[in-house]
Amino acid sequence: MIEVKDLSKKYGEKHAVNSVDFTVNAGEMFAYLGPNGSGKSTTIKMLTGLLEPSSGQIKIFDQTYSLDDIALKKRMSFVGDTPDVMGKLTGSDYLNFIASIYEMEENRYKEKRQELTEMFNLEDALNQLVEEYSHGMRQKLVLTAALMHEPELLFLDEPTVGLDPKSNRLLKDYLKAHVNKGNTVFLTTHTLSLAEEIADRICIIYQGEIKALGTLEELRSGSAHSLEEIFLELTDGEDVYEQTTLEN
Amino acid sequence: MNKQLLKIEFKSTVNYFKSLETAKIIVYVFLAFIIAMWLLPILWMVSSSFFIQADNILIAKALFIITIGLIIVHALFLVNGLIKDLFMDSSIKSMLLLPLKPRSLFFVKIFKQYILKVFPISVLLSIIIGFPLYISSGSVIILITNVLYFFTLGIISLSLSYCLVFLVTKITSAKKVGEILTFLGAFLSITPYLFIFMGGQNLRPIIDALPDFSFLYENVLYGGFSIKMLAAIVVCLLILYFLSHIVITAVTNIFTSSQLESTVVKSRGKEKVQVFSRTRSLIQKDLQLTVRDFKEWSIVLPHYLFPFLFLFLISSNPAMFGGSSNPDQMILAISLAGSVMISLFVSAMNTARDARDYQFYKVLPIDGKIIIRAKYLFNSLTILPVYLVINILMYLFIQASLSSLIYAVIISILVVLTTVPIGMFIGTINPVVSKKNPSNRLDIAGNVMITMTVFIIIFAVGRVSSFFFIGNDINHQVILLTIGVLFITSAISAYIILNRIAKRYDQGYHITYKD
Repeated sequence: MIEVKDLSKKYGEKHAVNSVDFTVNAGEMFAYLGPNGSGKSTTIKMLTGLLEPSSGQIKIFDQTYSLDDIALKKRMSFVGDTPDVMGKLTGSDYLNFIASIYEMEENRYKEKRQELTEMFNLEDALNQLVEEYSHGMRQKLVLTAALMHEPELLFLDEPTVGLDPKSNRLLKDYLKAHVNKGNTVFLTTHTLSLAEEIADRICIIYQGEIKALGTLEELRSGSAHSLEEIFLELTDGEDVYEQTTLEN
Repeated sequence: MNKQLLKIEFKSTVNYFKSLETAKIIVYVFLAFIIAMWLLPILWMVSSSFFIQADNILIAKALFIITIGLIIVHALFLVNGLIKDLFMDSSIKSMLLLPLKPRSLFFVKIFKQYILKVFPISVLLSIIIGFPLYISSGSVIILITNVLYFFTLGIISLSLSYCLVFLVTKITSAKKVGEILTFLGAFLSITPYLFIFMGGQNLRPIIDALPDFSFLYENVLYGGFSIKMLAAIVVCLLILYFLSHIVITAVTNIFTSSQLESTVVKSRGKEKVQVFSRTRSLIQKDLQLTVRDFKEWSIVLPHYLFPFLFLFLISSNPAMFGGSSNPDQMILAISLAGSVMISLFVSAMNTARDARDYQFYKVLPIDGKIIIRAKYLFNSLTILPVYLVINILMYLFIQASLSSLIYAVIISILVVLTTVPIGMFIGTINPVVSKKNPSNRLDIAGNVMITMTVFIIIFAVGRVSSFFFIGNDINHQVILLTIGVLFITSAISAYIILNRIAKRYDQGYHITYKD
């Protein structure tokens, strides 16, 4: 589904992402973790074509991906780290616009829209301007827009930021079901419990390099460590962790 | 505490000026030079010759008009800045959580506004009005009363602007108020022309019709020494003290009591669940973004007034037509010049707006050709009907012949269709994205291109339109030939330029992100 070989991005002399290799399989929930500034967003932007790699290769659906490939883009969705939606559209206008651009069949659109807006408890806000929405409501709206055409490949950059606990739970369940249907989700998050709970495989990136990649069991490699402990150990956060533990 | 806060505000202001681009600094220095070397001396000359020579009744009337005009205009201008500084500034909320007194915070904010936006006006008026009155009376106390009077007017304007803001934010959100005021501000930018061209002629009858205000100003701002002067000084000082206290207290109370937290949430009618063609959905999206945003109106609508300015220029300067003109020639000249100017500017601005959401479009499954086709249709469909109405209004105003109206309409349509792609092209040359100032969308090169074109058109259009006439009669052959040429150029322009812009969209283009 996604094949990344020797992918690098340099800003001047600094490597934001340095020679990264990984594969994401069809029907997999893949969590991409790392501390702030580790290269998560840079990687996801390169995968979605928003940023040109300095070197390396990206294949999506066995094709070299480019933003010009409209047919390929129709099979994907991307939710960025900030839910930027044109403020002067209503939620309904925005969803109509996205459905039109993805050329969704009208009845299917109505059905999915109802399902998702009900799930996120967004129906009553749909005829308000987006600029009047809270951060969480905007996040729900962009998630609805990204999910309603049932993409085979979904990129989510910090999807749970701003969501209330109920929506958070429902989103997790929805994503699990979505993956069970054979679709793929590539997810970046700081919420380690989210990755621990729903990801099939986890990749930890630090200072632009992959530090660990595998299932949770493989990362634990037989130990009883939690994902948080493994994460801190791999990202030089262990010292902080130990200090905090001692203080407590 | 106040000292620390003032230091921070001072530093942020200095940093703002430090971060300005060289081009902007040059523009500011140039403007300051023009104001210091040209505008101020002219104001001083006009004002001093008037206030030194005019009789007392006329001086009183002039002072009254200046007082009323200044308070209203100054308050309106202050409102916009005030909304940006207090309502749109998210740092206020976080500053309120710091261990400092809210009153100190708002005192500093209001003080900054006063120093930057009120104090210079008060000083300017004290110089151009107070000084001549001091010279004519020879009494220092006259200068003191004038200075105090104009400083008091400044505080009154500031207080009025706060009143206006708090009153209107009860009705709608501060953001909407900001949009409406930007919209009004754009129209206000045309008012100096109206004052110069029309107001000047009517000022004298207005002054004559006013009652005598000498009882207010004589022996206070001009004339000889009297006890009234001392009373005026006391009154001004009291107003200055109490109004500044009231403003600071009111602003602190309103902001800290969360009275501004309730935003007005408006439902936009019944929601429609519909899937359209991609082109139609893009046009509809553009239409919604334009119609619902007063800031967009403020960018676009004032340009539709320029044909009327052309009408004024043409009718008052027959030299533009080589010495003579007739209504038919005027309507054709305006249809040419106005449609070029409007379609160039409006389509450039509408296209440059997309830079803000460029990343969003890039991840959508849609290619540049569809986006550009939709944008072309949106621009043409929004510009053409308005310009057709303008043509009809012109026809009614100047009583041209029906055949010239028909030609003007056809020429306008073809000129718009030819020029819109050029405007769109300019809108994709390094567009600017500024959250604080969304109307600032074109870079210097784009603005220069449009301004140069407009100047050339203003000077050339009279001569060009004279080719359509033999004496006072319409030369149908030349006009039909022009229409044929315009028809071909509109097709070529749409094909070649739109394809180039679509490629630009697909390949990516340079965008400057400000603030």
